Parts: sequence; C-alpha cells; structure tokens
Amino acid sequence: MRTCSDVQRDLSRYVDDDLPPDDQAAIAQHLASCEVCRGIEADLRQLRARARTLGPMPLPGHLWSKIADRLRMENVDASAEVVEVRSWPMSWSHRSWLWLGLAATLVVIALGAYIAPSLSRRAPAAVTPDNATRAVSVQDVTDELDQALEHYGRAVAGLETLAREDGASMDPAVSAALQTNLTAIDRAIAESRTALIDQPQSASARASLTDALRQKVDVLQTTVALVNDLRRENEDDAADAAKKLGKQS
Amino acid sequence: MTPMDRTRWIRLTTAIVTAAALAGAATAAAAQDRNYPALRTDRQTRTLTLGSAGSLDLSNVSGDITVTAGPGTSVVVDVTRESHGRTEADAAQGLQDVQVAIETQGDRATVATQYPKTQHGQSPYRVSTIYHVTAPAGTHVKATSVSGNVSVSHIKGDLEVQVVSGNVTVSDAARVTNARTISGTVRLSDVASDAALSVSAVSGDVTLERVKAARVSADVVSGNVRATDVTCGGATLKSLSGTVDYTGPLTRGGRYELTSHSGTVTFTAVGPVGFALDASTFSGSIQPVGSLTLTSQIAHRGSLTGTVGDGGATVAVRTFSGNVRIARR
Repeated sequence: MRTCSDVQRDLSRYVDDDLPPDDQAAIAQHLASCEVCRGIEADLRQLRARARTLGPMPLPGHLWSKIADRLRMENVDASAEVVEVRSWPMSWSHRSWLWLGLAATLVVIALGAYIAPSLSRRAPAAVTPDNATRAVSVQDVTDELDQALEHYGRAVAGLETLAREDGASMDPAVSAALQTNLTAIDRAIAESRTALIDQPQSASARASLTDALRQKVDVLQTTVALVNDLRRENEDDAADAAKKLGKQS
Repeated sequence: MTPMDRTRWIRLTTAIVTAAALAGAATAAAAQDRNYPALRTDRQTRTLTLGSAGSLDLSNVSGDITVTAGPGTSVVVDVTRESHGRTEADAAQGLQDVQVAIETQGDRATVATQYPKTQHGQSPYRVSTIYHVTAPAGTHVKATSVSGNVSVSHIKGDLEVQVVSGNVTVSDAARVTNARTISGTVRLSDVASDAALSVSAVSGDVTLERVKAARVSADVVSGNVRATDVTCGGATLKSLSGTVDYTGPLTRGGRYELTSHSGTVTFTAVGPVGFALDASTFSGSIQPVGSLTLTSQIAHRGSLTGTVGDGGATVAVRTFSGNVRIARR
C-alpha cells in the first residue's frame, strides 16, 4: 500500500507515463481514493501541459531571475490572509488546510517538478520570433510561480502570527523546541534565498529553498494545531480526546 | 511525512498536549519542584488476557512507558502513580483525580491516564504515571505520551510510538510503522519489518541500527540522522541542520535520497549492488572516499553524477552548505 508521500514522489514520472506498469497501476489505484494526491496530479498535468507548449525554450534563466527579484521583496503582508482558527478537529477549516496544502504543493511542484526538469533537459537556445508566442506561456508559468510564492508567503505569515500570539499557552518545553527549529528553518530559507539571488540557476539553492519552505509549513502546521487545541476550554477530558483521536489515527 | 501521517500526528499531538495543559503540564522534572514537597505514591497491577496477538493502546500524559515481551498470553500492566502536592492533602487529591482507565474488548485493550476536567489556575498537584508493561511478543502495541520516554523491546507485533516530549527507544522489534517525537531522540535497533518504516523528530537525533524494512524514511529538523547497517528497498533521510549518514546494502531498483541543508551527508554502499549517483552541494565539497570509482562521471559546479559498479540503484545526495562523502565497501 503506497503512502501519499510515496505517490507524490513518483507523480511526476507517473504523469509522464515513465514508471513500470505495476507502479503506474499502483499510483492510479491510490489516486482513485485520494483527493489530495488527485489534486496534485491535476496541477502537475496542467503545468506539464503548459510546459509542452513551450518547446525548446531558453527562459528558465529569466524565470529564475524573476523569482530572485521577487525574493528580494521581503515584506510579506502578514495581515493579508486571516485564517479562522477553531478547536481541533474543526480547527482551521478543511478548506483552509487544503488551500495551504495546495499553495505549498504548487510551489513544490512548480519549482521541483517543472523547473528542474526543464533546466536539466533543455539546452539553452536563443529567443527568436518563432517562439515569441511561447514566451507568453512562460510568462503564464512565471505568474503562477509568483502567485504561488505569494500565497505561500501569506500562509506562512498567517501561521506565524497565530503561533506567536498563542505560543505562550503551550507547554514551555515543546514551545521552545518548536521555536528553536523554526529559527533554524528561517536561517535555511534566508541562506537559500541569498544563494538563489546570487545564482538563480543553482539547482542546489532551488532545492534547498523548497525543502526549507516545506519543512516550515510542516512545523508551523504542527505548532498552530497545538495552540489551536490549547485554546479549547470546557471541552471533554483531554485524555479521552487523545484516546478517541488515537483510534481515528 | 505524508499529508495523512501529518494529519494523524497533528491530531494526536494536539489532543495529548491539551491533556498536558489541562492537567497542569505535569512533568517528571517538575515533580522535583520544591513547590510540591508532598509525595503520595500508588501502585497497581492489572493482568489483561488478550491472547498471543492482541492489541494494546496505551496513552499517557506524564511519565515513562516501558513495554517488553514476556511469556504467556496475558498482558501485565504495572502502573505507578506519583503525586506531588503542595500539601499532603493536595498530593492525595492528585491520586484521587488522576486515574488510569483500562478497557478491554475481546483481544483489544485500551489503557489511558485520565485527568479531571478543565482546571483553572495552577494545579495544586502534579502527577506522573509510570507504566511497565509485559506483553506477549506478538502483541500489537500503540504507545503515546505527552511527556516521558517510551521504550519498547522484543515486541514483534505492529508497533507505533508517538511522543511529544521525550525519547523513543525500540529494540528487537518487527513491523515498526511509526516512531515519532517532537522533542527528543528516536533510536531503533535490531528491527526487522516487511513494512515501511517512518521515523521523525523535530528536535533530536534519529539513530537506526541493524534495521530491515521495505522502505525507510526519517525526517529531522534539528538533529542528526544516522542509519547504520540498514537494509531496505529505498530510503529518504532528511535533516535540516544536522548530518545524515547512511551505511548499508542497496536493493537493485531502489532509490536512496539523503538530504541536509547545513550538515555533511555521508553515503556508504555495502555489497555488490552499485548505484547511479547524483550528488550536489551549493557551497560544500563532494568527496568520493577510498577506492570509489565512478564511470560516466560528470562534475560541474558543486554537482557530481556518475555510475558506481552496475548502477543498479539510484542514490541522490544533496546538501546546501555541508559536504558530501560517498563511499563503497
């Protein structure tokens, strides 16, 4: 039985029909019952479809330069995204989580699955009038990436605000551990950003940035979920909840 | 961590951390607090007849859990509650309020530390509950705790351990599906499983020794990942700020991914199966170690690709600012 992580790792090759038949079938079976992975697959197919219209394009460098420009804009509007927080399991509407997941996923897919193969497989070529129309498609992809990064930044900012506001109510040892790790992740993001600004074509910088962003979402999700639940008062005995939730898991 | 795993993990942690908050965040260390000088202790033992392959679901808030295999077909749960109070009366009240609930249904049992409903203000007592469980080796065990160490040995049934703050130690086990902690270390040794193994810690080291599994994944933010003598069909090992080390034989067709942001990544393949290498670092160095011979080698700006031996497996190794070391023996 494949996990979502297993499936998502191979989704790019699945979309390209590049896996052994057994693996293709196993992933198809998983997708039939997993909405999240199916959504990622749809995004990936959309991006791939657009990518196929590009032909032998020379523009990943431009694209990454644009992302590098964007990364220079450090001022993310923390108030842009207000996320309602309720007690678990309703804490954050499923939609919000889905939105966050999709935003993050789009970043990962866009940066990891689309750009990297584009860079590694396609030889640089000059822009000619023949592919001028294709440049529009590349711009579309660039815009999508920008949008994804923007959404991602808002989501992270919202999560950070929530975690900061309510972190004091969390068990101090756990809170300290999470804060220490968030700081480490921020450092990694900053280093990767700096590297990407200096060398937009660096695959290592790109991969490190996406990894660090993904880890930040992971830790922030855990943090916010913890503080969400600590907001809950007058609820049933928590050990009962632990037992029930443990059964669900 | 998969989205589903993360959801489960978050559900569990939120619930049990709430338990900690409601209970006054009792911890073993806090038990030493001079504000709680009075101590009352209670010990009880329950024997549960679950058969040779029953299921035990044990959840605790504060205190260590130890599970080990024993003879027979019964599960023996030895519980010690230690209540530290401001006064003797408070300590006694703690023992009265904090109870251990045991429910059995067929071959399944649920054991849970239960605290009173919401308390306002600082609790007049702090209670830690220590579990020593002896179970048939085939028992399926799920152990969760907010604060405390969990140690499991010689259990061959399905095993899942999740802790918020504390260390997880598993030895001589099979079918370990999950071992997680937010703050603490995870150490697995002598594990033989035909299932996928997932291990994670936010802050703490992960150590795997003599582990066999269908797949191995380990994810750490601050801490080192060290996998020694690991046999698996594929592996994904990640650390943000720590080192990542992998030593073990490769499976033909398997994919082994090792990633760190700032730590050194060391990969050592053992045995006849070779691998296709894709190594990269932004500001570190890539160092083939010993007599490693790469064919079709391409080295360019912090990246190195090539084939070692028959190229039967795929090895992807990446670090941002650390070094990469590749070896074969």
